[in-house]
Amino acid sequence: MSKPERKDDLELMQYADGELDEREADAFAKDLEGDADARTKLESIGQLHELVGGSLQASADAVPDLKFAAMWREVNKAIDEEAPKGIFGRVAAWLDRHRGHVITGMVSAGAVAAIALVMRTNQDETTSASRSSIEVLPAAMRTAPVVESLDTPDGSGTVMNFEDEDGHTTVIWVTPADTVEGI
Amino acid sequence: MSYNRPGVNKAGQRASIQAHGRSGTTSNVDDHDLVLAARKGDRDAFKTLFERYHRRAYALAFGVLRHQDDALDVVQDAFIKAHKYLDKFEGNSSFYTWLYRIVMNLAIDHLRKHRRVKPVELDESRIEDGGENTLLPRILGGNPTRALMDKQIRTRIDQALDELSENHRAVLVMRELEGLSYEEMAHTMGCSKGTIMSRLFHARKNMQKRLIDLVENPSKELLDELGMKPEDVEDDDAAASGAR
Repeated sequence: MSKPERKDDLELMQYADGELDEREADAFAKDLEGDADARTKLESIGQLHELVGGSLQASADAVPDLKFAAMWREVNKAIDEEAPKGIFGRVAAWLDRHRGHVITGMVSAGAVAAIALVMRTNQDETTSASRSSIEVLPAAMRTAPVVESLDTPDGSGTVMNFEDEDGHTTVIWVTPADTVEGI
Repeated sequence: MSYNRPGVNKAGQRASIQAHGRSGTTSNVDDHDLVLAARKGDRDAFKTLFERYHRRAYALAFGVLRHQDDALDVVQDAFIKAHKYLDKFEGNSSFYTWLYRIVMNLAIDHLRKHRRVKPVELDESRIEDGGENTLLPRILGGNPTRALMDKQIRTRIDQALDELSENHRAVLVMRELEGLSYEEMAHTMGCSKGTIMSRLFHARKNMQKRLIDLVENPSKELLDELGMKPEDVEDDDAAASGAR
């Protein structure tokens, strides 16, 4: 088979699969009118679609309902087994589901507490500085950390950005998880 | 003149395997609401989703794995995982789109773990010779649906699917059963669109090549179904030889 013919076949396949854009598809459809061979190939792709799809459908329809009923019982059992037991189990499951929010909340609360501590320290030091006329610079963070949640393919995480006297610091805390994406 | 473009419908749904809902109170509820209810622990809602899609999911798994028990195992695992991770389903796509990705991932994973045959890609260069792909319409007399009623044809299609490489088969099944776009298949298979296109092209060529003997040896039942006589096929073959 010559190369150009193969290229045409690929384009024909793209057309059959609806992968050409509108303009290309229109142009291709026009060309098809004068090309009986290409029309036959197109028909052939359509028939293969029917055959493969129809054959798999028939295979699925041939499986007895009893098999799927048994499958549902197994699925149901597995769901029951996965369900958390007792109050502690339910709380732990809730924490597990909302892990990202809990971490973000805790970090935010910690940041607020740190700022409050720094401000209080500043106040004390300013007071004592005014007494002794010595200027004391803040020793800790100048601004509150910016906390963002982070979704990763293998879990969830938290990004914390700190501005302090040493400059900008970013901490990325990733918690691996057994996610669907990782299946 | 307009030409019927096969498989352009991306949904790719087939009526008889997409709606196996039961006649309970949740059977008319849409998937999104069922997912929300299932997240809150409504087991009946999840059961409705199961009953709606188990056969369709099975058809996909069976198409890839070609083994009934393995396909059933994969579908079962897929529903268990789907329930476990319902909270992660964001609703950007349909529930079934999300489910088929789980099924496909599990099926591909299963192939990797339990490979029964050597994963050798076919020598794609040897199927480059053209001609054969014009035969299918004549094989089936333009009526594939009726032709599928013929046991011999069904067996041949099954054999042809069995003989495809795993990658070729997975792409062909995703396209012909689910109507996935090249982009969606590339995402699911973790490869480029170009690779998907190449695999699909060769998968179709291989299928057609393997189905040629349906022309040469059509069963009497098929010929009866199609209202044809053996000499009709011979005439067609002679005409095709002359044309080549």
